[in-house]
Amino acid sequence: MNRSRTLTVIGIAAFIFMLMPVFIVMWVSVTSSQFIAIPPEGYSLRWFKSLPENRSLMGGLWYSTWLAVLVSIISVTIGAMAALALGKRRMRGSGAIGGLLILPLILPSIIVGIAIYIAFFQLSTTLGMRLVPSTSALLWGHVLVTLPWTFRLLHSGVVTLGDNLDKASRDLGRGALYTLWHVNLPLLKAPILASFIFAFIFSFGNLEISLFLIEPGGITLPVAMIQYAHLGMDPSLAAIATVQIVLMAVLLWLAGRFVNVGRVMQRT
Amino acid sequence: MITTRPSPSRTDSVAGDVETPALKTDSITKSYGSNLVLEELSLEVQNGEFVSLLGPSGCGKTTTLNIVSGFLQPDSGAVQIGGVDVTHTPAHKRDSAVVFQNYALFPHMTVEKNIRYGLKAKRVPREELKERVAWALRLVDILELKDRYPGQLSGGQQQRVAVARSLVMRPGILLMDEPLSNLDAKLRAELRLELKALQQDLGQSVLFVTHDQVEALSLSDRIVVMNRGHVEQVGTSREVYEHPATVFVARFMGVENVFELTRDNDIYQTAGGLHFPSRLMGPEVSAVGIRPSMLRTRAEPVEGWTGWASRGEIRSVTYLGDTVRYEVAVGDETLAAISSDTHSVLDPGSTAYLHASPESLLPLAT
Repeated sequence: MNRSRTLTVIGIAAFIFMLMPVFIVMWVSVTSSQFIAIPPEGYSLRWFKSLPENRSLMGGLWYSTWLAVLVSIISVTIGAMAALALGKRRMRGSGAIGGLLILPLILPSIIVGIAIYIAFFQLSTTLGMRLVPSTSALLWGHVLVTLPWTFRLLHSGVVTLGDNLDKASRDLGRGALYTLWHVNLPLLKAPILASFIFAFIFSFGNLEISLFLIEPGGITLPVAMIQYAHLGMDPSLAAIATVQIVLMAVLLWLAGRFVNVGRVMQRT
Repeated sequence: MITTRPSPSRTDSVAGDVETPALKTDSITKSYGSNLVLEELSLEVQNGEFVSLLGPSGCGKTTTLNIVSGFLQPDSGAVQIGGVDVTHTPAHKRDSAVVFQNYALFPHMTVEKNIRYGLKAKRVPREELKERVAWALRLVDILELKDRYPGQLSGGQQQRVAVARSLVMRPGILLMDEPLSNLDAKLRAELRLELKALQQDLGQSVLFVTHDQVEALSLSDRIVVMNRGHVEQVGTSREVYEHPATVFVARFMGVENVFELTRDNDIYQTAGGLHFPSRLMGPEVSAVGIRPSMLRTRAEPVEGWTGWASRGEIRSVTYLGDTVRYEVAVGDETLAAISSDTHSVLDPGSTAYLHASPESLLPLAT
């Protein structure tokens, strides 16, 4: 065997090793039995069909979806404003501000979660009103951890765009707002859509922050799944996991149509 | 090819008061930190005049353009467009239009939409807007490209769109930032001719930034030669080429033989031992320039020559087709000479006599 052949084989092996759990979950989800077992005793779609009646998991799914949509909108808006402010021209401190926005990326999410909890808790006692656990605290926590992604994606888009077209637009008699709306935003469509998708994916999958900040009646899907698992494993979990896997795959594929996903992940 | 048609509307015409210059800068100064980029620069572009800012990179010509267009604020001094002080007017409210070096076309808009972009901001009535866009498209001969996107056009076509997009605004002053530098030589020469014809037909006032002296010479009514943030010389193409005022302008205009002089009674001399009699030079001359093409190189001295002459030795000979280029050593100096006599070429190492007429000795300030 030559070198490149060996590398190919190792590559495929690593790939299989990484994706194995995902395949096993999908495999288990189509079992016909009451229990999780490999290999399944028979095949059926009964666990998918019964999912809509599973109130805790479905509640989590919808709650997570709405939360992720809201988080994405806020995160993309803030990220775009920061990217436009810092990416168009060099100013004093732009490097530091950019670094600060990326910081949550290198902090373990669990620390961010604890930090938000403690900070909001202290604030609550000072203000005499309950700030945690609450949906708004959860929302801001998620925005915080998705912001590095949206900011970076949009920042590189803005830098690539440069300020030539802004100059041309101003020269032709257009003010800043018109230029933003008719030149910059249309040309940043791809990174805006991609960062929206990334924010959605990271909010949807986040467990660590949610654990600290959820309030009763507002349980996200990952937390709902943990609670469900405590009561006993059944193939419903595999079914809902499969739904998530497919959803994420579709979203990543969509994002890939707008930006080079590999390159975005690489820059971590 | 250019098809020039009269503008459909001249209500906001460029032809204003004859006495008021289209553009005037009054001793503008600009520095970045301790780096002085422009020093008290004053210049004027008259109505319908084509003025070039010529100089090497870093001479401040692009900074000047950015100050005139409103992208930069001068530290001091004033800018007037059409007699109106616009020093503190933002870029989008100035009666100027820029053709950018990289064209800066909006990639997500068709050619037609690019051209309409600025007119809509001016609230031009619908019918007039249509007419003016059509006029601009025909003006630069791109009518059939109107529905294409910039990415589908060649460099030359993009250049035309950029020119049309600016001209459709009927600006009081058209600013051009090295607009031909991204094109290949042949296309550049073609577009240069077109541009000049277009400018003359429209009577458009233009300030043109370039580092290419051929471009400046062929296009301009007047040239402003800049060096390190100040003006070295202002004049017509002929004046600047034939009578460069300074050593810098002479070198920039292709005068290769430039020597600093010291005077010793009736003789000016260079450090390397060249001599120039003062009767050929005038009273107060600090440097002299001679174009290579103005030096006559002979194997024997020309009899009865009353101009400047000197004896030297041929160092190298380069055959250039139409001409032959010699490097001739006289004393410690080396002179370049270009001869159109390609038949009797002198050999390297042989003795040569250089001759220059009194008019071809260019007195220069240092």
